[in-house]
Amino acid sequence: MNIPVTTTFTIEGYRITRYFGIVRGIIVRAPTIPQRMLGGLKSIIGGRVGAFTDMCEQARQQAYDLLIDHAVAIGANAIVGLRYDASDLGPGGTEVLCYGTAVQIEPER
Amino acid sequence: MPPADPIPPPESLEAEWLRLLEQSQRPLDEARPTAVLATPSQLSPTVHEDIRWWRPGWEDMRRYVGWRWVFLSPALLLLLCAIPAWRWPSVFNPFVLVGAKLAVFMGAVALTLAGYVVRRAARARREPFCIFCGYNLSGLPDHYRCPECGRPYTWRIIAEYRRDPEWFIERYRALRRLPPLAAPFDAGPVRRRRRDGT
Repeated sequence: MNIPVTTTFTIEGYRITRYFGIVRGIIVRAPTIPQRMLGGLKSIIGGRVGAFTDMCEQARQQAYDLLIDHAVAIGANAIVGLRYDASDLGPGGTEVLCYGTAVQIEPER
Repeated sequence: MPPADPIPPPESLEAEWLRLLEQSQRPLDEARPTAVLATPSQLSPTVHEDIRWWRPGWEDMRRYVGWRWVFLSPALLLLLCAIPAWRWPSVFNPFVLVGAKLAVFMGAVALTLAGYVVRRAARARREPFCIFCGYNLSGLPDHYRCPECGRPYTWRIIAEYRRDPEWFIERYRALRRLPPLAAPFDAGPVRRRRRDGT
């Protein structure tokens, strides 16, 4: 599934022919039981908390997956202007929103 | 229309499957971003009824639980306490009261363990398989129909399903909740009518 996704608003070598609108992927995650236990222990010590880093990485990856699903479902073949946004949802929970503009592109002649 | 990729080198079906297999073995939580191999929206439109997805059987799950059954031992202990609590309440009821929170916790542990085992068992299958009925699709071409259940498949979708079956199913369900499409519009220079009407 190689659709180009970029944070820029244009793609070099291609021209945008159609805008489908905003696509998004939202995921809300809380640490799993092992992540919560390991992360809690590591928070006491300090330094890099790998368990929570993994959780945030999974949340971003899953939000990205949903974004791609949304774009492909409406017939887009590229996404421009990709952004991530995150916010806290109570203790331990985090919401990650990934959004961008779904477009149709074709190679420049 | 998808963007024109450079012409890929000729690749046999086996080599392509092995490449997809290698990509689908990569866990989602690896540090680098994972490429999305396929999306559930690429499933055939005929697959919109309530689907019965393939999941590993009890025998596979038992094999992959292995020593991890010890995580469920507090739940077994709680069950053992619940039976005498009914017969001798004064002695065993305190255990059951304490065990109410433990039961909720153990339910969460059991679900986590089940998800882990399903992922492990799905990744352990090296051969291409139908994601609906589990039929072994070895020797069959890409973009074809399962001989067992008749549903269409592509190897990319199988590889994506293998990576995390539960997440794939959740994504498929999420597609039904998609917001309506915003009014699309074409891009390009604005063309105004000339004064002569052309």
